[in-house]
Amino acid sequence: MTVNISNLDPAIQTRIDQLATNAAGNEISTVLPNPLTPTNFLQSKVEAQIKQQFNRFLKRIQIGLQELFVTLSHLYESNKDGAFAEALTHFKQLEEVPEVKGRRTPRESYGLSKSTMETFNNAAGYLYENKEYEKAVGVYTFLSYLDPNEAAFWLGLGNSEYYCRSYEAALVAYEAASEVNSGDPQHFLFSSHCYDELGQIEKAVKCCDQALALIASRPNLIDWREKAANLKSYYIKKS
Amino acid sequence: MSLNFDPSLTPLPKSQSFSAANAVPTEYGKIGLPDAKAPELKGEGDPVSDTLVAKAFGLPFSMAAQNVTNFFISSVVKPL
Repeated sequence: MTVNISNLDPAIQTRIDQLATNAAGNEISTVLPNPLTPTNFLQSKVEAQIKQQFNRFLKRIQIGLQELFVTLSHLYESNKDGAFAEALTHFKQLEEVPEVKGRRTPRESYGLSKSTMETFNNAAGYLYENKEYEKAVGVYTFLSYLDPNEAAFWLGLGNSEYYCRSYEAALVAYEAASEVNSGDPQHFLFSSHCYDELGQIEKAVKCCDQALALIASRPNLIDWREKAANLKSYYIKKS
Repeated sequence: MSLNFDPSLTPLPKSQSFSAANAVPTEYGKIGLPDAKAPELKGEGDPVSDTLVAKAFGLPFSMAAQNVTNFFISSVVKPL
C-alpha cells in the first residue's frame, strides 16, 4: 500500500502500510491478484478504493495538524496567552502513539484534557472566523477525529465545509453533530441550506419539519419556532 | 375641480402587488445559515456511532483505523 504523504520517513511509510493492511481487515496487495479472476479483480479494486479513501483522510489530518500547530504558534506570538503555549506543550503528547483500548476516543487515548481541547477549538475558531475555511476544515477534521463525541467540532466542520461549498460533506458533519447533540434544531436548519444549495428543496423543507418537530417537543426551544416556520415558508414559495 | 388625488391609493403595478410569492421577504432565506462565529464547546454529548464517524471521514472503517491514524499523527507531529 502506498500512502502518498510527502516527507514521510520510508520506515514510517512501511509501518503505516502494515498497520493499514491490518486495520482494513484484509491483506492489501499492490500487484494484480493471482490467479486473476473477475472476483479477485473486483476485490482488488475495492481494496484500491479503501487505500485511496484512507490516503485522503490522512492528508486531511496532516493539513489539520500542521494548521493547528501554526495557528497555536501564531496566537501565542500575537497574544502571549499562556493557554496557547500550554496547548503547544500538550501538542507534544501527540508524538507518542497511545495504546488503543476498548472504545476510548483518541482524545482519551492521548490523555488530552478538556482545557487543551478548548484551546485547540479556539485555534480552529480563529481560522473559521477569519474565513480560512479550507484550513478550518482540516483542523476541525482532526479535532472531530480526536473527540467525535463533542458536537462543536462536527458543527465547526459542517460550517467550514458549507462555506467551502462542499455541501455533501457538510451534511454528514451536521448529521454527526445532530447525533451528538440531539436537542439543537440548528443542525436541521443548516442542513436545509445545504439541500437548498444542492437544488433539493423537498429535503430542505423536510429538514425544517424535523426542526419544527424537535421545537414542538421541547419548551425551551420555543424561540426557534417562528424562524423555522419562516424558513420552511421560504423554501415552499421558492419551489 | 380638485380630484383630491391620493397617490397612496394608486393600485400597484401587477408585478409588485401583494401576493403569496412576495409575502415572505427574501431575508428569511438567510435564517439558519451557519454563523460567522465559531461554535463553542458544548461538553460531551451522546456518543456518535462508529459508522457515522467513518462516513464523515469518508472511510470504509472507523475505529479500526485508530492505531494507524495515531501512528501517522506521531510521525507528522515529531518534525513540527
